[in-house]
Amino acid sequence: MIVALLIVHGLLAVALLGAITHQALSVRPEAGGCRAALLRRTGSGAWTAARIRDGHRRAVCRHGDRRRRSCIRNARLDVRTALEDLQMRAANGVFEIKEHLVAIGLGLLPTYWLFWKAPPCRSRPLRAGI
Amino acid sequence: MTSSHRRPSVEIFSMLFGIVYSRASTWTGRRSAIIPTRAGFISRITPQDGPAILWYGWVTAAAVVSAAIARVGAASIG
Repeated sequence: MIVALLIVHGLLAVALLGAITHQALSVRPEAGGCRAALLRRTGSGAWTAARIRDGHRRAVCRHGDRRRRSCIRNARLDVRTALEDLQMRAANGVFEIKEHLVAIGLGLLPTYWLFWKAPPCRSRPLRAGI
Repeated sequence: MTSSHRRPSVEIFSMLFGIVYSRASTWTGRRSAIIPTRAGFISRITPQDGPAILWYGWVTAAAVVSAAIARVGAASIG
């Protein structure tokens, strides 16, 4: 089960990378027209959805016994105790910093979604093609 | 009219969330603590319990406080 969870986690990470790459491409100065507008529109929704889904998967994941269990709880009970026993303070601190960044990112998501609106597509009217 | 003029509460919420979260993260009150156990979470803490998870309480406090202030601030602006 843990292998499947790791694969899903990796796939979500790739999806996030794809979404942020699309958005980075869409804000290039030379990127204009309908394609850029479409990239902006889809990138915003995809990024927000993937971010929420990944955050949810970090918080609550389904295990083999078909009961919802918290990944954070498992990390606290299993991983963190081992890290503290082994005096691995850097790894422990990185995990703590990641938790803070996730929380601040959650607060920024509504404004991000609100501001990231696609401009009207005016570069090439459909009538010209017809 | 931009999106921020139509919904200033969202903007205020995001600006406040990080500030409130950073203040709340110094809070180690027992009301925000959740104790992880093998059977699940417990919120009633006894001295025998191990270290608590405070993160959920911090995020909840930041969300609630920020939302309340953003609502009041947006109403006063609009």
